[in-house]
Amino acid sequence: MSPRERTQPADPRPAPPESPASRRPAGPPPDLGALERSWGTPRGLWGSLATVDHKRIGKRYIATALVFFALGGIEAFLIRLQLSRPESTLLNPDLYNQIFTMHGTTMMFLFAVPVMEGIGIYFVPLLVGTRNVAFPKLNAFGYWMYLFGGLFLYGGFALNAGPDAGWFAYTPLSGPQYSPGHRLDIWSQMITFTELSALIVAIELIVTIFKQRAPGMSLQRIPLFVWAMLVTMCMIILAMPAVMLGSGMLLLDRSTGTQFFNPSEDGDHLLWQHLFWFFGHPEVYIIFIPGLGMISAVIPAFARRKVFGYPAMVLSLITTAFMGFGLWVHHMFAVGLPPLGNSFFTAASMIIALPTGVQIFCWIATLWGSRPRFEPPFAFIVSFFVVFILGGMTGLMLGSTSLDLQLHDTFFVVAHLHYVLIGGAVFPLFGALHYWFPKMTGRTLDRAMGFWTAALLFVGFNLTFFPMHLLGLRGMPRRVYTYLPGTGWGPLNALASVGAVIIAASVLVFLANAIGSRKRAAAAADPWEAETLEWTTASPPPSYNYARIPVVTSRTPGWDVAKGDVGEVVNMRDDLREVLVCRPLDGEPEHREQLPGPSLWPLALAITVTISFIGSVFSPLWFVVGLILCVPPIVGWYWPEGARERPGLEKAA
Amino acid sequence: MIGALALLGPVLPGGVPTPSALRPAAPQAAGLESLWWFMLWTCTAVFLVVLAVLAYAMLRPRTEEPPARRAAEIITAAAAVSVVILFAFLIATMATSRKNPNEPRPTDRIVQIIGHQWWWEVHYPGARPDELVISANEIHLPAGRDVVLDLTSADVIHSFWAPNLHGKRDLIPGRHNFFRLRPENVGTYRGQCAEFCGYQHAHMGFIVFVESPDKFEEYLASQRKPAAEPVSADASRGRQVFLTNPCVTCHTIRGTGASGTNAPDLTHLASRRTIAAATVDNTAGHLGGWIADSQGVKPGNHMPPHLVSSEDLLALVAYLRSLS
Amino acid sequence: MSARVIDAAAIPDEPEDHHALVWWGTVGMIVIESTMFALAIASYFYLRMRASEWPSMRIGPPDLTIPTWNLAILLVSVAPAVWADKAAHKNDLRGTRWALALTFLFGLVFLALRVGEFHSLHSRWNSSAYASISWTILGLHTAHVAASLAETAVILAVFLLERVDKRHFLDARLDGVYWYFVVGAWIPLYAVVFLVPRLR
Repeated sequence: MSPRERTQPADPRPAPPESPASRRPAGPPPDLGALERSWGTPRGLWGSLATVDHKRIGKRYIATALVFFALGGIEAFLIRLQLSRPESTLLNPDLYNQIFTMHGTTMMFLFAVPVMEGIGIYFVPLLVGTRNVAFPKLNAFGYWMYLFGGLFLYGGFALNAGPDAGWFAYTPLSGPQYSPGHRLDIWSQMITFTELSALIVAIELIVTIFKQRAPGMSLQRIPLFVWAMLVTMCMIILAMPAVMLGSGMLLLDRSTGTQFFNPSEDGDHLLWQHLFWFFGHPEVYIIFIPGLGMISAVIPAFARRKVFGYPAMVLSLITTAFMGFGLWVHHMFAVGLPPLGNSFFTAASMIIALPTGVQIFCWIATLWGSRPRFEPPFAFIVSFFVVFILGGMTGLMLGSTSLDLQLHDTFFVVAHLHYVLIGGAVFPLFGALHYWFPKMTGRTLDRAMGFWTAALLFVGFNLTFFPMHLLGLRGMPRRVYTYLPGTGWGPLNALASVGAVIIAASVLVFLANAIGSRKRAAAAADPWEAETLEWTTASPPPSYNYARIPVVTSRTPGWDVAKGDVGEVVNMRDDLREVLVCRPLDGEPEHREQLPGPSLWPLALAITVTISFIGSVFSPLWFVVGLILCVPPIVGWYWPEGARERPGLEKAA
Repeated sequence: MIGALALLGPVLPGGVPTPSALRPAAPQAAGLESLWWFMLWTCTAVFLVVLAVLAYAMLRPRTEEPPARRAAEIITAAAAVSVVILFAFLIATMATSRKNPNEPRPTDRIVQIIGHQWWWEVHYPGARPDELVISANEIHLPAGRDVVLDLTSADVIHSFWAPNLHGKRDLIPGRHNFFRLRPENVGTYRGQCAEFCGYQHAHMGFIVFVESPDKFEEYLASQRKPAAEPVSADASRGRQVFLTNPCVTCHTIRGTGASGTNAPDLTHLASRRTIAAATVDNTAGHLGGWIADSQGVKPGNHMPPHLVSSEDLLALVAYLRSLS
Repeated sequence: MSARVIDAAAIPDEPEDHHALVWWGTVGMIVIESTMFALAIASYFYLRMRASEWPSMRIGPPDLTIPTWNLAILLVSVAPAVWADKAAHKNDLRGTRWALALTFLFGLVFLALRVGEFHSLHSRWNSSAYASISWTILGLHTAHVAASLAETAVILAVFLLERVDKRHFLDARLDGVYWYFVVGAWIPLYAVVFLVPRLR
């Protein structure tokens, strides 16, 4: 029985007397044509370049991130080919060093964070019941910065200027003396692009979540996925500045001769490590917490129940994020810091398992006796439990400052990080993509192919990464382009490389499934009978998201609609891009604001900023020239378009 | 011995056994191995229990939602058990690290290791400055005695890791890291650099020879002597080739006037089992090949190829192989 | 049936300034930049902790004359910024114009003297980690001042050339909030760059 059938009211008592608020709406029915004209994006190239529709921008983020995922996957495949047997001459050390650096850099900066951001940009406004993010033009600008940063990095790679000092770029290897040329400059500046983009997404999603919720949606009623995104965005704000500052210092050391990382002039190599890992550890939680949100988003439809323990779940997300900032030294246990300090970070690294453990227990409670419907999204959720929990266990081992000294910088860590990142983020991501694909595209994914994707990914993943635990214990360090035959590491490496083929197959099945969806039937508005707002509108949603902004009364508005427990807002302007702005805590409407429409200024500004950033790699003068070039687009972006832009507002002068 | 092992498959240079963190030969590594097993069994049990409960939750017949209070109690209990386990891990960790204090004491023997791209410079300071022994890539230590390694780097960050003896410790330019070892079992143990350091990070290995204290002192005494005088005509010619080629700008052979410090000290090269940082065995063929084309063995390493005539090369190899 | 129907026409379309979306966006940006400054200060103290002399005896601590005068100028510039804030709050066009212009002028003077502040360090950015971090903190703050002045200039231009509405007065107030941030951030940064080297 679906939740709706179960909750059909059978109450024989007379209905309560009509209050003024529950009378049939006095306003006219929504003019969908007018809404579409106000909120739609014009067709053609201009529309594509100027759009500020969060759904289009969100899909761009996701598609671009998946392209980078494929590129990172090809790099991984090359790594596995090279390591499949000892003393392979497939890749020389220079190329290998570039490839493994590009693999890590691509996956961390160009895939994992942007794909989560993209799903957030697409779904957060729908989940909170509004029509767009708070700063639409900024949203567009953020996407272009991400794209241009990624293109810059790969352009450099194509010209044999790919970074080759690891995704973590420790000094002095990454400094001017041991990495001459522009490879590391390109890497450092790419970070500026992508972190700027991430900070922009963070601001707009935080403001959207706090200020643009549908009436009735207090903070206790927002979906757990939205909580996860809110927490992640706050982490981005506090973590990204660290890597921007660090990469800025590296760029300065390399280009202007500053001495931040030069011990003979009072600099310190550990300054780099502290700044990088102060960002780097929260970074993995920035990737993983949206995954946790996705699990909570998918489970209810298949278990046909709300997630158990909402307050505990929210508190766990917040606690995990908070604690995530107190772990970074566990990446530096071999560096020789005082033991007492190291012990603190061991304690923190252990205790952070607790909030995630509580989340897992709450999901088990949700699933208890639920006989969940086994569909492809749910298959990925089950995989998450197996893979991520194993990764969490090895994380505890690595968190021990003593034991870590054997495991640090070996293939044991490679195993661990892939178990937690693929288990904790990629499996939930694929589950979410299968779940939300009908909503985003209006088409369905094939069920059998979905199961095949999950099965191949699960088997291939474990085959590739489980043997690496053993390789680490048997002395195989990370980031080696080859190894001696006498080490005996060959067979396990060969096994891991076979697994890589199976992973590649699973991704290809998913691609075929997605591309083939065009030929399949159109998707219903609510194929899964799910509990959140996005399922109450069409698949895909119209440009204006909801014909009328809903008024919610619980955490499960998707299930409340049939009971008539979801109200609506009437008399909103449909000739303007008008949104409701609410009070941050209880979600009650406060005022109405107008959002901007399509504009080319964000792209123009992104181009001039890109000129400035790329130019600065070659000469500081270009940085200044670029900044001056940025002035016209900034003015254009901000300069009022006159009375036409805001016809409803009174002129003050 | 090496011949017998060869029957089992390829052998590491120097005939050294394969490394493993699970075959400890020193109390430091043994303590870490015990911690490993404790954590592994506990974590495996937790993993299996949680997955079993999850499977049961999903497979059992459909019931109403569990009553909130009961579920909350069980979750709280599970969280409490988790805290106990995590705390146990913390205590076990702290107990293990307390057993391994690294600060050098006046009675400790110090061995200095300086990391280079892509080889290990080893110094054995003695009581007097003239007792200093300098070698490369093969480290001798006395069994059953505490040794404190003084680790630093001349270029980028490296990491010293011999899994059978202890965990790893980084070599950081501008810092000295002290690392206490007490190898117990006589034998040979392979180690490898464990911090990415550039092109030949993969081929920056080393061997630790743990020997009885007497043999250790013998080793130091023989290493203190200056280079052996060449006996054969070939070796004499080889020494001439060495001294008249760029070799002297990087290498030292004490007693010949060659005092370069960018590359391994060759004074007692023939006493080493391996060359190129434990990458290949120290044989005439490998040595000749290394001199003629080191880039073929370790592409990207800092030794340029040397074009010497074949007679000169053979003489040079003969000389170097006489430096025991 | 507990569904509510809400009439949007009854909801005001002019926000209290601090409820507006751009207000929240500006605060978010200030949080990000404060985090960056805090990390720069942490890096300063980290490097100082590891150095034997900070700065080296040869260089000596920075001169205080120009920096302290410039600090005073910056603090005084809060006055026209507050005037602009109040004028914008009252939708006073003339007042806003004059106050913005005055704030802008103060900012220009500050920037000019900022050059002297760099000189007060009397060491080049590439001579030591001390010089590098001091120049970087000064440089970061200078960039913020310049950006804020550029923003003020654009808003002033709008106020002089275009017909303005309530939305523009909000923007003028936000420009003032950002200027408060630039001034407020400078107080601890000044102490770190110019006073801490005198602590031995």
